[in-house]
Amino acid sequence: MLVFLAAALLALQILPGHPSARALTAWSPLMSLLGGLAARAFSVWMLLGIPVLVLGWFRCRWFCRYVCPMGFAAEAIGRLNPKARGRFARLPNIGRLLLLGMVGGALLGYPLFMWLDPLALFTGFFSGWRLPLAASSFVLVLGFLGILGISLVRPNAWCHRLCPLGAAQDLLMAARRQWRFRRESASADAFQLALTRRDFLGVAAGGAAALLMRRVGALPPPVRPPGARPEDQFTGLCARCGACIRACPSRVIRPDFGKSGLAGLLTPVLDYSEAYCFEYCHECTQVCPTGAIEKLLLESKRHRAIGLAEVDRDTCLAWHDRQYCMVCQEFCPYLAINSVVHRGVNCPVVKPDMCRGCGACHVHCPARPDKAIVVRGLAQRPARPLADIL
Amino acid sequence: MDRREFLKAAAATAVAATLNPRRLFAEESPRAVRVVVVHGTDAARMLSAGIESLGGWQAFVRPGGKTTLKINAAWAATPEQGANTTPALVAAAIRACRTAGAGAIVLPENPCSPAEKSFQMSGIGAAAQRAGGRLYEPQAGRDYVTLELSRGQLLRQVSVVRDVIETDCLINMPVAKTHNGATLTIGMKNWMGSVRDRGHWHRTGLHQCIADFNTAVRAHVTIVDATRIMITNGPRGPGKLEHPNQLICGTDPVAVDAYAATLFRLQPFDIPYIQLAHDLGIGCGKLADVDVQHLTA
Repeated sequence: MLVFLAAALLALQILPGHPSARALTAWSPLMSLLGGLAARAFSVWMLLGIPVLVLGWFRCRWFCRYVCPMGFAAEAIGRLNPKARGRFARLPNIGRLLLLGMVGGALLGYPLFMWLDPLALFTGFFSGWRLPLAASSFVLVLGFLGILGISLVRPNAWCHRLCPLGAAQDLLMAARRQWRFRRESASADAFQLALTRRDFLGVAAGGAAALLMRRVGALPPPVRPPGARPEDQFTGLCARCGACIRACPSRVIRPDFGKSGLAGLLTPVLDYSEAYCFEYCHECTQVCPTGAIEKLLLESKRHRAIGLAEVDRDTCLAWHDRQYCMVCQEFCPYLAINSVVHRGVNCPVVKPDMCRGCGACHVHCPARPDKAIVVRGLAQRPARPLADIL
Repeated sequence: MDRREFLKAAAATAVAATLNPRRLFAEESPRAVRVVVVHGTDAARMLSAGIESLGGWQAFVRPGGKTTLKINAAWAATPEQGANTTPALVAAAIRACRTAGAGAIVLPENPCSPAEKSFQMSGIGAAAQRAGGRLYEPQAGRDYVTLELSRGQLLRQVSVVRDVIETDCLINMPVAKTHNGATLTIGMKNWMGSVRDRGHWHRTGLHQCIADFNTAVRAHVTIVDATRIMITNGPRGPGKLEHPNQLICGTDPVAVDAYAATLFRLQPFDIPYIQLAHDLGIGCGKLADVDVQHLTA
């Protein structure tokens, strides 16, 4: 109970600082270790996933019993339906297949079911509350509520049959039993891991699916937070935990609903209709538990292009209406807009090698009803030279 | 001169006065408009010398009354970048007003960058706090009033910060910079940091809107920070800086802007809003008619 409350507190992210944002999700070895494997990146926080695995080796489902806030909530709800307590046993062990698929996917850079991590679902639920009302914030909240629903109808089904993190611990336990058995019997034919051929097929299928998913790129690519991995990996690495969304002080990051296709459902995208990505901020790059968003120093973040601004000369107040405007240039933090004189008036031209796609021009453009300068996403997110500071 | 001649002359003068009052007064007392340019490096001393020459703070500040300082703290930029008013100057002005007996000293600013960051990075937040002025970001509804501009050509109505309208002493304290939309931003354009919907001005006609606004809002004194001026990439920068080390003080907003324009090697009437303001009779943009006095402090 205490742990649940502590977790909820962390997930709400009332406490300041990056550690509090990562303290909960880093415990999940799925996110920290598989994420690190898939992103080919390492962070000290990933080490937190190891004790969970180690404890899982010695104590059956230690994490599920004592730490997991999702498990706590699911169990509490499950108690309301005591008659159905044992029925989950008849269900196939989907979690195990999901887990093996994830391992296979992670090896090839696309851990398929990261979003089913219980801690991600839990924290995602708390992100939903902080967002303006939209379909996406509803769906983000639905993950947690959905599991509570499942737990009411089929108690224990989530933890024992669906959750890939639970399955990981079961697998550990099975492996330990096997290891003990081998040590005791010391016979050569006992040298068989608890894995069956079906499990290997699961891993292979995960790998194949990962390759397939990496081919299906969203077109056009949406604007992602700075430091986001290339689009072909991002949707797989992202756990939809909402950490970046909650970390963003300008609230420009929103869970996606449609822009990046089905594979990108609820992944973070930048919405420049009301805010832009502050040039002095790199909060979102500090909190990602899976490495879907690379950790960037502020200076590196300022060099990273996340999009490219485009001027529509047919709606631009300067180009089309001959108004003295240049608000886009005024607000650009990176000196990425040139002015050229056209019909006696300064008109904006984007310098593609300088534009980072932060959206300052986009959000402040006074043209109505449609903005005359909009930022489009990039599939690859290159580093750009920083404006010469004189 | 007989009576008839006198009457003719009087009638002609009256007609001339009705048509263009400024010219008449300029003719009668040549160079009535004064601009005081203080050269120096110590903001507090320059400010005190400039205001002294315009009659001292008593001429502007009402004891116990509200004083509104319209500084420029629009950008999340450091004082060295020259995008905002120098914080030392802001602090000196607040202290001087306080000494002159001002009651509340308020510094409303609707910035371009997020307010918290602008106020912090510009150094003006800390400077105002230490000196005893209240720097704040006006909130929609509560802190704005609607102002009708009877003399406005394009801008007839504007939502403007309450403390700019309802105050006993209004001081405009801009920084001089280049501006890609308005050519230059000095004093008259500084009011855009007091209005809610700047976008409307850009859509409607920026220069005319600036001039129109100044028909209704006039600072008791304008003090332009030209200690350093941003000559490229304005208004935000970072851009190339020059250091004229000047403070330009005056009660005629058009004349002050006109003189400041020369620091950028421009003719005042190269900037459309100075021409428009001059034509509307807000002040004198013709430097030949302005008495520019140079002081050193």
